[in-house]
Amino acid sequence: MADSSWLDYVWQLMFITFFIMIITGTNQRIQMKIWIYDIRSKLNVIRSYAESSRAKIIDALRKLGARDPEYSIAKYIDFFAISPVEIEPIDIIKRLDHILRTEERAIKNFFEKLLPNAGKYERSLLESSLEVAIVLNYLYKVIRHYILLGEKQNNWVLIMQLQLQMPEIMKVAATYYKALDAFMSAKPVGDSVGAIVAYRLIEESNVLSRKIVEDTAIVEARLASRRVFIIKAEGPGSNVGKPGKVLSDLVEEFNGNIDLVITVDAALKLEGEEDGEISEGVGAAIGDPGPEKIAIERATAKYNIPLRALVIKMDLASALKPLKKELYEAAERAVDYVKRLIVENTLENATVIVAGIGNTVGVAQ
Amino acid sequence: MNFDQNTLIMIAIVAMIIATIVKTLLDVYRRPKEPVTVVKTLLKCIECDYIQEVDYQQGDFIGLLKGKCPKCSSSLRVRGIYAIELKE
Ligand SMILES: [Zn+2]
Repeated sequence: MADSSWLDYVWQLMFITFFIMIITGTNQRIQMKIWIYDIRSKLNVIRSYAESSRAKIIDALRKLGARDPEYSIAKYIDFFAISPVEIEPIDIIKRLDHILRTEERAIKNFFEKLLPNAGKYERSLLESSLEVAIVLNYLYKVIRHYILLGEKQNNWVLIMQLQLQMPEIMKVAATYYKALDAFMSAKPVGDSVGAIVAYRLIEESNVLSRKIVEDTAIVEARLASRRVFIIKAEGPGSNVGKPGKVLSDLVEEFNGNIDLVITVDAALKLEGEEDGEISEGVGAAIGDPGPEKIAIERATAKYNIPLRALVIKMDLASALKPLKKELYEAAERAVDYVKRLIVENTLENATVIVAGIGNTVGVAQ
Repeated sequence: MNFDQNTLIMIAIVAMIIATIVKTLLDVYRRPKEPVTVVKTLLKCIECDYIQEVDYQQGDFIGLLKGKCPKCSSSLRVRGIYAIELKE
């Protein structure tokens, strides 16, 4: 057995090497290197999303005649809003609303200065596109921060967590990147289902009057022998409007003589639920940071008006990407659902408010 | 050629190590395939029940009056805009 003795040595050497590696944690370090390599390659994809979204916006700005768009975008790409103090809840909604409105105005002013000759429609699309670019840029910076930190501190737990979360993060990044295309070209997205339902209700009813208040359309109409006010953000630009404020003002205008309020919105589904499932419930179906939602709740609670909600379920990716056909069909079904809710819950000649919540990109009124 | 037991075990281990490395590298490089989508515009006549699905064009939005109905020659209005997944 002379020729197999060297094999025995190799065999034992390997065993000892493995043993030492495990004891000293070298295997962990090798694994960490593989993880880091994997995360970095994915991070490069996020960076390409961030850079390309920025380039697309700059390109669009230049086409609309903006001067030196690179400089302006570089200034705004890190734009942030600081949330109000939460340990003192008194008037927090007012403070939050103030911050959100200031932010909105700042971005609007920025684009008005940059594009004095462009219309409101083009500007609204670029505002939303810039918001997407800000998210992608931030995502890239945060992931980069954690991988650099993990490497610097040799923190394999941090790297491992990042590695495990990367697939989910990549999905979010890809979703936002796709949303950019929808906003730049003004295609309806999944979140627009509420606006589509409102639009279809307007189309199917007998319109009495239309007005626009605070970027929000209020349409008074006769539908199924009832007086119906349909509220949606002003389209077809990218805009969510101020449905809560407008609804609450409308309720006050009628001194609370409203028989029913229905909100229609897109909602995040649970894993396992179907895209486009319609669910009925109570409460204000609206996904804003707070001020709009609480305005609806306060107005209806003050006058004891029944507040019904209808949601169309989808995942985050579907909500931000161009509207899928299944969701469009769900919106069509939701129109009949709303009509049934109105008929079942009110008598003839009742006054009803229906608010189609969500971004109205690509949907007129 | 006769292999003894040790050699066979060695070969098996080396093969396993190579397979693991290849698998890891494949995982790193392989990207999940995104479904290809096309966006369609659904047009409906404002008078009769004529409905037509056409390719989306830049500038289309729901509510836009666009073109004439071939049946009754009143206007067509955009009723829906949606993305369809193409199956390869
Ligand atoms: Zn026709």
